[in-house]
Amino acid sequence: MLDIAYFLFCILVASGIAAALFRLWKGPTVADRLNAADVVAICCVGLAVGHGWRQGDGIWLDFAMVAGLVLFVGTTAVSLFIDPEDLSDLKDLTETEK
Amino acid sequence: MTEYLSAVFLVGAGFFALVAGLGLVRFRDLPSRMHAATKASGAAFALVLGALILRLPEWEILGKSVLALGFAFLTLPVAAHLLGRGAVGVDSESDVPSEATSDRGEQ
Repeated sequence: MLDIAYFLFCILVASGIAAALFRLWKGPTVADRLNAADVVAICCVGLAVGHGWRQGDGIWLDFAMVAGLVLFVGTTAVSLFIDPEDLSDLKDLTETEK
Repeated sequence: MTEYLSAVFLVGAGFFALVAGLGLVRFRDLPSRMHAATKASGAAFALVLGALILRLPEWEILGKSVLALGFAFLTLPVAAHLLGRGAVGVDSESDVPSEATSDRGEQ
């Protein structure tokens, strides 16, 4: 029972990470990529806590706390450097392509 | 009984992680993607912590889980808000999107 639940959890989270990685690869703006990287990181923290669930070990909660805080610092730091002109540049690019 | 419930929580967490990824891929514009990614990943994180609490009902696990969940629920919306401000182009002083101010200046 626990093995089946853990297997399903791993498959589902891996699919979510793969989808977010696709957006990270393709994403037209920097904000899209940053958002996708955020989702990938949160899913990885969730995978770590799920691994602790499988082993019956709560030590991964410390990792979850610290990773959540570091993730916030990283996202904030990069989002301060996002240039809103990227969006208008993209608009010009698509118009010229048409 | 709680083992089955925690297994259901864990699978639900995986489902919400998949929903977050699918929303990132399928939605058309940046605010929709941010809406899908932030809310669904927060729900997934809450569910996986709930599964861990149900599996190991100890005070230490409960305290750490509440701390981790509190940090996540405090920082995820703030990070998404900052990301949205940067993407839309809100000036930190004027609190009005730069497009709106430029339109007003042209008129």
